Amino acid sequence: MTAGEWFAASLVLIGCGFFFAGTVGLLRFPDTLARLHAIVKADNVGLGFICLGLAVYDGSLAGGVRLLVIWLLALVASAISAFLVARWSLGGTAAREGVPNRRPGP
Amino acid sequence: MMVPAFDLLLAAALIALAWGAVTSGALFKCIVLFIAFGMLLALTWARLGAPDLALAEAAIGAGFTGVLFLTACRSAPGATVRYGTAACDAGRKRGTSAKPILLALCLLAGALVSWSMLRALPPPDITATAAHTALETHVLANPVTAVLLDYRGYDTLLEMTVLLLALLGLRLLLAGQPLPDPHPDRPIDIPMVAPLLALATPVLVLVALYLLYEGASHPGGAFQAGALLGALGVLLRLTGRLVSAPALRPLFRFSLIAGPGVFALFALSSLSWGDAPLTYPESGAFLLLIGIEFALMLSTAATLVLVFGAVPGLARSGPP
Repeated sequence: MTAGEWFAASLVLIGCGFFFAGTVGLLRFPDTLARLHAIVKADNVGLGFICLGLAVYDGSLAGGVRLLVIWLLALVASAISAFLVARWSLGGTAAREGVPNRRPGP
Repeated sequence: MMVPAFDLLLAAALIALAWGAVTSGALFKCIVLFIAFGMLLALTWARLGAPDLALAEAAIGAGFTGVLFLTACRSAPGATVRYGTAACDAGRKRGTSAKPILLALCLLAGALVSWSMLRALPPPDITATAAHTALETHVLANPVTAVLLDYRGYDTLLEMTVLLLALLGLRLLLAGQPLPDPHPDRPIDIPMVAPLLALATPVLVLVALYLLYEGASHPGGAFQAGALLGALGVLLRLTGRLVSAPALRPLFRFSLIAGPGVFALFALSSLSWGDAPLTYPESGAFLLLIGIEFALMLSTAATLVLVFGAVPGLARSGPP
């Protein structure tokens, strides 16, 4: 393996370490909000490291841009999903309040 | 290489997830484990060198089927939706006495299939060699799409018709016994949902069209693109942008029959330039393929959205 491949492999392994930390948090934290905090933050950083390692391994600009877009989409999706799950888990009025449904009008 | 360790880990995880999905006590936990199993199965297909199948498995097997199960779990009789805990819990499942027999039968069937697959190593076959040489000069570079649309086009045509028939059967059932709307119109909107849809809608449409076009030469194709558009429709339905209507709009109806219809029209009209149905012309074959795939994508998406909705029709939420 070349030096570039070693670097890419080490980046991917660092990302796996972040995923491992997030999973430990998911299994060990007491309630939903703490677990969400662990998996959203740690897993997204881990995914970023994995995407960076794969981009280094691939070497091309198109592949790197695609991996960056994948990471950004995963960030947005996980952030909004975590917000919705946290809102649900709070229960009570927090889960029932919201903004009025804006209907597309004429 | 460390590859066998990864494969063994993947296989062990698949078995563990499948076991958990079947034997868990709470229904919600079973469904979540099933979705995770679908994602690992998509990874397995990618590992086995079938990226088209991996895309379809991730979109349909894990995503769409998972959402269907969650909706069914929520609407199940006796399910309680409690804030602050699991989303729904329909209690313990019945029929625990039949599980050892079913497990033995599944293991026996799996062992038989594995034994026959390991014994039947592919010999150099006449049809396989002919297909490989024909694929080299085919207008499509992706062999999966070439097989689906050209060599086995008849199968794809009938599959699209089966999809339409399944939807018609569902409509008949619902007409006989109407179900309450599983996703009624919401008076309030949750924050952050509108920005999510503002981002997700153009991205999903763009990626679906990209997969449709790239399916000619790379992994992708009409079915994967249709599954993505169906996922967009499911997202719009879940967030209240598509509400139930008493009847289907004409454009929706047309998109339902566009796939099998266009394919059937092409099959019949190919008699005018060939001597058998479903033969492609010498010139313009690529455009014709893209057009047929576009119609198939629309049909797949429309059928998936309607099957998920379980209502007679869908309309955009807005002033009538």
